[in-house]
Amino acid sequence: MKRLLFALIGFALLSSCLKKLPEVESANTNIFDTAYAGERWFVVEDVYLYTTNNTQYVEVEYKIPQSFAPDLSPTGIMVEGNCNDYDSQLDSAIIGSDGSYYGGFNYQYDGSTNFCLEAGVFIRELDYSINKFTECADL
Amino acid sequence: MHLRKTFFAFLSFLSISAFSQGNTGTVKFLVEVDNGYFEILIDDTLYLKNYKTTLEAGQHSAKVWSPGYITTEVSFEIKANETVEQFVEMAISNERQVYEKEYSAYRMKFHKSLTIPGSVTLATAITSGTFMILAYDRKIQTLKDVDLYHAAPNLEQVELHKSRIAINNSKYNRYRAGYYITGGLSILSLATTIYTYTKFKKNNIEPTLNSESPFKDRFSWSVSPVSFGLTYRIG
Repeated sequence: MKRLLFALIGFALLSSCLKKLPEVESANTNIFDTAYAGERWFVVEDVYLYTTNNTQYVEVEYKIPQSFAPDLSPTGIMVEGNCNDYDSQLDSAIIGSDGSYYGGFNYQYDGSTNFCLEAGVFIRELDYSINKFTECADL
Repeated sequence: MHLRKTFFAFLSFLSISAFSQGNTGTVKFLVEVDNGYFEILIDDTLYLKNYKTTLEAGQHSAKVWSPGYITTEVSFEIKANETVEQFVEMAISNERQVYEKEYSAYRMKFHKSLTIPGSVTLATAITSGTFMILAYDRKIQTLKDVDLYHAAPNLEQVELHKSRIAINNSKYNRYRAGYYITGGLSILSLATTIYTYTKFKKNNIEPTLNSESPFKDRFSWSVSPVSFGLTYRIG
């Protein structure tokens, strides 16, 4: 009976090493994944006005926090942004010293006070952006 | 009441060489046995455990015994300075026939109780172990692919690692299932083996063949640090 008991204990111990892998279920949070299932991967950092050559512009700055960036950090991440009724723009977010990526879109100011940025990761091979999310911010 | 006459017969080779002098010949016994062992009693006085000896010329008789055979008596003539080959055909005893039958049944039960379930246990345990090693290997590979997925800085690499994760994870799950199934079977087989063997040991006794020599009571060896001797009882 001891042998059977030892065999059962051994089997149970070894079984604990071969459980289902939860890591596989979470392998959908890379922002370059077309089946991305994570949270909004960017935040609008600031919206402000500035004037150049007597023309007023609005700058919508965003940040991709390090936790959302891939571990093998590329130098830049192409982001496509749509803001209010403005035409869409492409921007290359640049990595900062903290590992987060920073970028911004500027538009000629149209008098709006609330700006909603819909941003997606632009994929050159596909020629369109994926994983679009929207965040609004006041001027 | 037995009449006992005890004497030290001879000391191994010395005694044999004594016989070989003068009017003597040699006899070689060709005994047909399948166990390679026999004992010979020549003229009710000379006890042999080998096939060859030297005797004085003349008529002699020998009783040959081997475990499982009927003791057979043969007569032969020794001629001076000649070697006689004496063929002894041995008949299997009834006791041995019964023993062989019983032993065969015993072995059959033994195989059913231990060899077969034990082999199944061993086979399933080895299979289970193989599945475990394969599953563990796939697990390591899958986790490595998950790390590479999270590190991937573009769509191409993301797709590559995702497909690898899917393949390796699928194999991991298959091997895992194989491990659980064969592991479970292995435990069941082990339990069955323990049960059947315990039952077998409880209900069966290994048959034995009486292999006591009929000459046993007539001879006894005495061994001391300085000498050895053979005691022979007559009557």
